[in-house]
Amino acid sequence: MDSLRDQETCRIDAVEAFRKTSHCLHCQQPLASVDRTDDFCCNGCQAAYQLIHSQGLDQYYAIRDRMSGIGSGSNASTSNDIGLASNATLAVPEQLLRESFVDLDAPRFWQQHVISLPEGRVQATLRLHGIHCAACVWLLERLPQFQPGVIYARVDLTHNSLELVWNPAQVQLSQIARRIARLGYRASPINSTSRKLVQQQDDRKQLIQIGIAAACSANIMLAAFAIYAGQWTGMAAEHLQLLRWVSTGIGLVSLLGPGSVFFRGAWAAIQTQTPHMDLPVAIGLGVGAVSGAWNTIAGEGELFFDSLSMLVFFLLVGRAIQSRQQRAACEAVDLLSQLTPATANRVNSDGSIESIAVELIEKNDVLEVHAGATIPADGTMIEGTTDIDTSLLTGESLTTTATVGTALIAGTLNCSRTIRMRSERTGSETRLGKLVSRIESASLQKTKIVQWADKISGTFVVTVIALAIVVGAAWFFIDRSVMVDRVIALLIVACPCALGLATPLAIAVGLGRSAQSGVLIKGGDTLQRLSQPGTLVFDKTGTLTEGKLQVLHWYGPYELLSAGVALESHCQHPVAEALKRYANELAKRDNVPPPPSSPVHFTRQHFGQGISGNINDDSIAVGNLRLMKELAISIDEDLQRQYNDCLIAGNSPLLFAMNGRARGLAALGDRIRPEAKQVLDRLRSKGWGIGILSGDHPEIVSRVATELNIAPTSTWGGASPEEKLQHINDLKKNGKPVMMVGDGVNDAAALASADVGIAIRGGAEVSLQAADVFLASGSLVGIEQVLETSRRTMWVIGRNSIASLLYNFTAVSLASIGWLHPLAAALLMPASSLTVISVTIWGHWRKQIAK
Amino acid sequence: MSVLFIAVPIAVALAASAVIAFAWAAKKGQFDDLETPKWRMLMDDEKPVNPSKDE
Repeated sequence: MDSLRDQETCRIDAVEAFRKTSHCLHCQQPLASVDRTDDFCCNGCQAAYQLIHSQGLDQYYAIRDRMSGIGSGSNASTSNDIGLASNATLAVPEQLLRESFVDLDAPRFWQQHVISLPEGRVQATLRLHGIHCAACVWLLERLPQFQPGVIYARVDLTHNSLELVWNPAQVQLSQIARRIARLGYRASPINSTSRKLVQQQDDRKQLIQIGIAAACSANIMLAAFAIYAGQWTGMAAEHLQLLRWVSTGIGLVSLLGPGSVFFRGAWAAIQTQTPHMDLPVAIGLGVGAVSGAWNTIAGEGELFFDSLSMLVFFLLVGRAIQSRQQRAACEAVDLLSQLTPATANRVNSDGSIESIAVELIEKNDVLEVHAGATIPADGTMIEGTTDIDTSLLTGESLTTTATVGTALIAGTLNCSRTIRMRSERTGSETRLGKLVSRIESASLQKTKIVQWADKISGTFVVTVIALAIVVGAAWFFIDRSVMVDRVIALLIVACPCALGLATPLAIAVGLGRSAQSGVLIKGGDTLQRLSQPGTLVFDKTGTLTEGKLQVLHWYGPYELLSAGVALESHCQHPVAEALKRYANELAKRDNVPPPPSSPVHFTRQHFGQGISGNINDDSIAVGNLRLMKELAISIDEDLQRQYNDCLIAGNSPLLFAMNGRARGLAALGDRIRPEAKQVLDRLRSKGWGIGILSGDHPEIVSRVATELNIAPTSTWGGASPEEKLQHINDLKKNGKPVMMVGDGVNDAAALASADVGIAIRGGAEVSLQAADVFLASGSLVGIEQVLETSRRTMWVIGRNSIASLLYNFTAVSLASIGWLHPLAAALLMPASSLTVISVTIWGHWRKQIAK
Repeated sequence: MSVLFIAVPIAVALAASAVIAFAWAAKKGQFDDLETPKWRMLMDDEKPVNPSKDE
């Protein structure tokens, strides 16, 4: 065995061999199979690899590996680009290959999004899901090389969009989208081209305002330092007066420029008589500015412009973060609404077919849905038979068979044939539409925490100014000569810099650290919510299990399996794929020839039942019990017992028959992730409650639950997306924090509503958007890392906050009673901030070195 | 120390010109995408394309 291995390492480069033995060539996920001929984890990855390879673009993989080397090799201080922490290629979802993207050719799309350029070229910007790293940029920007007709392609990683210029005479946009889909990226229309432009303008304006506010506050700070120093060493009156006028001038620029937004907000609040956070802020700013300006003109008294301009700056930054969070929430919703197509084919009463916008579909319209298209409305099928991919709502990777009378749900995918349906509910009335509105409300509720932070900072400033006035008044009566000194000392030491730094700094360090290990956390408040043990609810398919159909166990002669696989060799069905993988694995293990792929003489597919055919004069049938009955195949007692056992174990049995007698059985199922049990046990020992919430059949769910020691009382199977949401909301009523871990669109609402939603790699884009945490590593161990990081971060925040509060409290008291000179205060202020920064970062470095 | 009367306005003017430069850059969209350009810079130049190349 060893010598065999030695020979091989001679032939192939060692790294290449490692990858070949255990990882998918495209996405580098570990392969379940040990077979070396099987280089891909799924059809999707294989298609993507073939396309890249055939175009001579293999450099993509080199760039990806090189960039990930840069990413992971860098030290902590440069690793703040959370979005790029993981450079791995994601597996290509097979569903992508089935989509036709005809929407992108519809006149409606063209009216809204396509801009005409000279020489017959056109331009459009598409939203692209799945781009995440430098290699993606490289690959997509080479689109003109391998898609004739495309003239220009440019990727924007920040907004996940692709700007395309192409020649519509040569290629259709849907064609380009299918080509991109083969690489694993899903193209969809951006919400609206005009809205995008407006947002871009808004972003730029906001950035400029923040820049002005920052520059103003920094420059006033310089002047203020000189003034404070002058209090100690003495300063010529005319110089003092100059600096005061400079501060006042810059301060007024800051307040009337970037700060004017608060005055406008306050004015609107007064007009509409709705109390608003802008009101106290504006009052504070206004009073400070007027008295400061008056004191400048009078030539004596206190200026407040340094604190005021700093306040404007911090509040603007807070606002920018908040608006970005809200937009992200809205985008998650937009993403879902894009799951339904923009147009539908309506069959008119005279038999003609008309392409109309989905909004125009009415109840009882007859619609035609082509293969590869998405069902546009909820309704009933009235013509045809087809496979429907409902993974969107159920998370189930297997397609279901639909015939006349089957209820169809908007957003699911018609996989195989053209069908006709009668619409019953449209737009927001559909199940998908209702789901969208629930995700929307759940996401928006969560952003309120940021507003709360806004409030705190406003209150803080108002308190400090009030305190300064009180102290000033008190000293006015005690000793007028030291009044100014006291007030200045108080204002300086009360500056909440250390307090303000304590939280964001610790959070930034925590986020950066977890990003390095492939766990992306969207916001700081997530860490806070994760720090206390609560209830962790897991989805089953794809989260606790591997989410891929596999042969768990085979009963019968190998020759029969081999024949069955040969029969299925031309099928792309997930069952056929699982069988092929398993047979190759067996062949390797037992050193027998792998299943032949050609000598099939005749095959017949039985819709929703299985497949039959002849191989070397033997008639073979592979399928379910219904197929066996239909072909009058006898099943002996022994096999029947195996069949029942398989059902009881919660797996799907597949029968193999040869010449009228069933002789083999393959148990198909979804394997539990190897690390699941250990991770759950460890979480339990830390005080977390574990639950399982799945859309799968209750029996299968309870089997998985038993295997993982999850109590039946916290096991819920057969839950629809709506029920999942309901369960999460019910659990939240207990008062303990509820975390949801899931991967599919059907989990999106639950993920958004849970206190913390954790999405797992390989899941649907919508769930990634709705979740607060994304485990790029795809391993459940990541959950433990998140919890540990949040626990540690909260501890650091607590320590920092207590230290700086203690400092502020002592210093303010000392300053009020006059024991603190302004200069000592000016020295203490940066000293406290520096302490907080160095302690936080040092703790992080020490941890790194220890590693 | 009357140099302050010249130095301080110059400092303010310098700060103002920096702000103006920043505003100009932001308006031009220099800060729209902070992710892609830094990666694009690391990629090699394109080789001459040969569209007929197909394996």
